[in-house]
Parts: sequence; structure tokens; C-alpha cells
Amino acid sequence: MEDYSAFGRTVTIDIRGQVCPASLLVTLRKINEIKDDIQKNGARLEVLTDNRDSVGTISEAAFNMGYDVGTEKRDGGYMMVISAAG
Amino acid sequence: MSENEDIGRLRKENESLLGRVEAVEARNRVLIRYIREKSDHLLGIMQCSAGSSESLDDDALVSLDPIGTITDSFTQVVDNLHSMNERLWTEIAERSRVEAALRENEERLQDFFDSALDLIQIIDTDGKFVSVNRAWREAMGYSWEEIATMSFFDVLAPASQEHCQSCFARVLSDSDIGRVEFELLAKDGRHITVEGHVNTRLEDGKVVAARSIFRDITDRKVFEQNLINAEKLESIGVLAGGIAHDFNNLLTAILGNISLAIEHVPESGDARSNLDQAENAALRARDLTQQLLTFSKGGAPIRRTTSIEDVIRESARFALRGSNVRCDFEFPENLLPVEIDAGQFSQVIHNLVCNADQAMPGGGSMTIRAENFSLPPDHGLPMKASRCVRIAVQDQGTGISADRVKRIFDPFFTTRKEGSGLGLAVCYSVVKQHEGALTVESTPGKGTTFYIHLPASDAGKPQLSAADAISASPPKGRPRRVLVMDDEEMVRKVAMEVLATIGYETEGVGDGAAAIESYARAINEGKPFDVVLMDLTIPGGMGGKEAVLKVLELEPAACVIVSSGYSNDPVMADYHAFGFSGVIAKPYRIKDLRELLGRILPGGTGVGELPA
Repeated sequence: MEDYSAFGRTVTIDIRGQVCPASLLVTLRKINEIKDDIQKNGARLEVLTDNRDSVGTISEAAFNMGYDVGTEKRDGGYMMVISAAG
Repeated sequence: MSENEDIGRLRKENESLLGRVEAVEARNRVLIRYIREKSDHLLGIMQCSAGSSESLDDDALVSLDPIGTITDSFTQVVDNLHSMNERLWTEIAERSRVEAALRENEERLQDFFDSALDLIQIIDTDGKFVSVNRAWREAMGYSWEEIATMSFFDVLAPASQEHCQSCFARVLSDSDIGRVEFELLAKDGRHITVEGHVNTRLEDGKVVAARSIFRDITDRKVFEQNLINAEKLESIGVLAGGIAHDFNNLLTAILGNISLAIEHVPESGDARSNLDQAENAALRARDLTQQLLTFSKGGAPIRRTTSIEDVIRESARFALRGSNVRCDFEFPENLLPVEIDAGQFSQVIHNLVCNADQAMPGGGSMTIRAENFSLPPDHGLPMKASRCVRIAVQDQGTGISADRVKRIFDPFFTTRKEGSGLGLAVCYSVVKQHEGALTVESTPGKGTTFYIHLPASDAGKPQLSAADAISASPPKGRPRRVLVMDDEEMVRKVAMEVLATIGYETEGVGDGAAAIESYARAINEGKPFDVVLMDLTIPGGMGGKEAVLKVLELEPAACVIVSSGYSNDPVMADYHAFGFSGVIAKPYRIKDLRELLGRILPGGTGVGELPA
């Protein structure tokens, strides 16, 4: 697992139990909220989801918006980490 | 207001309110439908269509604010696209710059490759050409289209095939083969000698190509060969110069004794025939010595105005003895005189006639034609005079191919196994030393013509004609006296005997001091010498060059002949300037001596008799 300690704060949202489009909209709204911090490498967003389709949709949307997205399996679901593009 | 009125009013108001609520709800439904439509559209764009997911309920539609959220996200997508676009433009610009630099670099390398004077080639592991530069194509005469289908072994001369195969095998095993030298065969058949280095291109540790840079060293090879030839010639010259004196002294004794023996045996008979053959052999030995001496330093011809016709006829006849080739002569009556060294010049005719003879192994006829000739102003020949005598020696032989014609005057160039390669080189050298020019025209299969151009002499009639030479009149009256000075006893002895045979009274001395003493004593005794025959060089004693001056002090009108085996000595060529009246090169025959004495003694016929 990558070391994210270089980032400032970590914001985590738990959207387990939600599916698209709600899961996407919740994530996007959070990204929009803290986008300045993420872009300046001052924050990263962790998204916990248990919906496989959501991982693809969220990843693509975040990538199109110019962010790096890393995903790993965790506790029967997925942990996505959205951060500024390297 | 009554209660009923109130109720009625409230009901009305209620109804009106319900109507308004319905209207608002209806509007809300329209708005939510609008929001849902737009949201679904936007989510479709975000590839999050309802098909694979749940639809948002009305509450979520309001609380999640999809339009606001997605619009905000789109702004970021657009910003991201902008920055990506910018990066791409920067990348494109950078790539264009790199491409231009690469192209420029490639052009520079190609230009370098093609402007190199060396022959550069790349071949694959089968020997097939991968690339060659312009110098290579121009030298070899092939276009790239032709080369593309060829292998290196197709352009190798047969002599280099084996060597190259073995080099190539070593190159493929990635061994360093150092400097190589091959002979290539150009499209037009020219042989090109190249030297250079070969190295290999490796991919994954395996040889995939062999790269060579060759330098055309054909001219250098020819130059080196010429240098070697020149050095050989110089060695021969030094050697010849060194032995010529001794050799000519020996030959003088041999020839003199043969001449004497000839006088003593009957003209018909086996002994006479044997002696004639011995004399011819000795004369050929003399000519060979002379031929070698031509190359030694200072081999200036001893030139005299001579009847060239006699020299030509005699030499050609001599060369063609026993041959089945007939020689026709064409000489005009008014042929201009020329100044030649008869010995050297007869060698030229001899060599040219021998060549013609050998070019017609089945027999045939050849022609020697002499004519007065005026060279045009732009004649291009290496000679100054324009008024000349041109001698054409023409055969109907096999002819000489164009590439050989260029080299036939090179020393040691020969096409015959037994040839020395000196014959034509000597001819060229002799004619050049006569300030003339020797050229050749040849058509393979038809024949060859050599042209000798000799500057015409301003002198009158030839001083010497071969026909004048022989006179058999026996001596009468007071015999003429000759003083013979030579350190070699055998030469002195034979010269005295030869002179005695033709009627002279002789006395012999070993060096200059003795000669002066004898000469002075003879004057005192009232029986002076008519002629002094002096050897030019006397090791450890006074030679002819010094002695002649002393003799001339005693008798300014003295007739002194210089004789030497060093026929290339400057004194021999310019004997008058040194005080001599005549010159005779060793070895000589009776008739040579007789001719000379006949020519230089007042009223002389060559025999030792004073005029009455």
C-alpha cells in the first residue's frame, strides 16, 4: 500500500450501501468541496464503497477531472484514494 | 359576521389554497421532471446512466443537487482538458523540435556518409549490401537499385575471393581482423584495390551487420610499384655503372681478339662462322651492358650526325635473322640528318623490331618508314623541336589492348613470361635522351605502330656512313704511329694488335705519366705519334682527362682519342670540350676503330698509311 503520509489531511467518506448514481454524486460533491486542497496536495479523499460498478464510474469521473485514483480491496469492499495528479 | 358566513369563507379560502397548492405541486412535478431529465442526461454523459444503477428518488434529487454537483465537476473536467491540451501542445512542439533536430542530424550524417571520399559499405551476415555511400557507387559504377540485389562477393576480384571469405567468417564471429586489403571489380571491369577496416554491429550480442570503410589505394599501389621499379632501375644502374668498366674492358679484349682471329682465318669455313657467332654474342653482351647503363645516372648519349637509314637497316636485319618476318623499308631521298648515338639508337630499333617479330609468331611483314615531319604546334609530345624525322615501325601483329598500351613503356612491364620488361623502357629512355619522343598506336588484331620522333639536325651531311667504314687496302709508305694508353694489359695488348693488323705502328703505356713521357720522347726522336688512344680512367694513375691537356701542351695539334668502358661519362658525350679529337666506347671492333681513325686523321682512310 502506498504511503500517503506526504499529504496533509485525509477525508474519508463511507458510501457503502449506496449505488450509482447516488454514490457518484456523493463522491463528486465531496471532491468539489475540497478540490482546492486536493489539487494543492493538501488533502486526499478516501472513499469506502462496496459497489463494484461504482468503483469504475467514480474512478473514470475523477480521472477525467484530473485526479489520480488508486483502488484496493478492503473489508469485503473497496477503498478508493483520490489525490492530485502526479 | 355569522358563523355560517365564516365557514363559507374559510371553505372558499381553503379551496382556493388547495387549488394553489395543486398548482404549485404541478409546477414542482414539472421542475422535478426537468431536473431528473437533465440529471439523467448529465449522468449519462458521466457514464452513470440509470440502466446499471438505481434511479434517484425525489428527495435525493433535491438533496444531492446533481446538476450543481455535476456542473462543478464538469468545470474541473474542462479545466483538466484545458491543461491536458496545453501539455499536449507543449509536447507536440517539443516533439516537432526533436524531430527536426533528428532530421537535421540524419541529413548531416547522410551528407557526411555521402561526402566521404572513402568507400563505405554495410553488409548483412549473408554478405548482401545494406547500404553503400556515394563514393562507393561512383567508384564501382553501380546504382543503388543494382547493389540492392547484390552481395559483397559479387564485386570482389577473383584474386581476393578466398582471402575475403576467410576474413568475413572471422568478422561474423566478432573477431578483430585489423586492416584488410581487397581487390574489387568495378562494373566496367576495372580492378580497384582498397584497404580499410571492418567492424560489426551487434544486436543482443549477435553480429547483424559488418561495416567497412575502404580507401581506394589503386593509384598508390601503382605508384608504389613504380617506385619499386624505379628503385630496381636505380640498383641496376648502380650495378651496371659499377661493372660496366670491367665488363667493357673484358669485352674489348674478347671482341678485339675475335676481330683479329677473323682476319686470320679464311672467309669460308667453320672457324669463321664460329668466330662470327662469337662476335655477335660479344656484341649482344655489349648492347646489354649499354642497355643497363642507359638507366644509370648520366647516361647521356654520345650523339653524332649519322645516316639513320644505315643504322635502321642494319639493326632490323640483325634483329630479324632467322625470323620468318620480312621487313620493308621506306626512306625518302631527302631525309633530314639526325644526331644520334648509333649504339643506343640501334638498340631502340633492335628492340622495336624484336617486339614486332614476336607479335607475328606465324610470320608476316613489317614496315619501317622514315619521313621528314613537321610537328603541329599543339602536338602534345614531350619534345621541343618541331622539325623532326619521324620513324614508324609498323607490324601486322596481334596488337596491344588499350589498358596495356598505357603501361608498355613502364620498366618491368611485360606480357611475356621470358620478357625482362626493359626493352620498351630502354627505347623510351633512349629516345627521350635524344630529345625526341616515342609514341605508340595499336589496334588489337590489326597491328601496332611505334613512332620515333627525333629532332632534325642542322648539321650538313652525315659525318659517318657505315659504308665508308670498311677499307681493305693494305698499308703502304711510312706507317702511322699510335700510342695506346690503358692500364689493362689485355686491352692494351689487343688494341695494339688490332692497330698493327690494320697497318699502324704502336707503342703501349700503362698510365698518363708514361704516355706524356713517350709522346715527348717520340717528338725528340723525330718520329712523333700521329694518334694517341687514351683510356679515360686509370685507377691510381693519371687518366685521359688530365693527360690529354699535357699532350696538347707538347703538341697543340695532337690527335687524341678517348676510350672508356664508362660510356656514360660526361667526357665521352662532350669529348671536344675536354680536348679530345675523337671518342670510342669500349668494347670496339676492328672496324669501329678503323672507321674512327679514318674519320679523324687528315686524309685518312682508316688504314695506317700516310698519304703519299
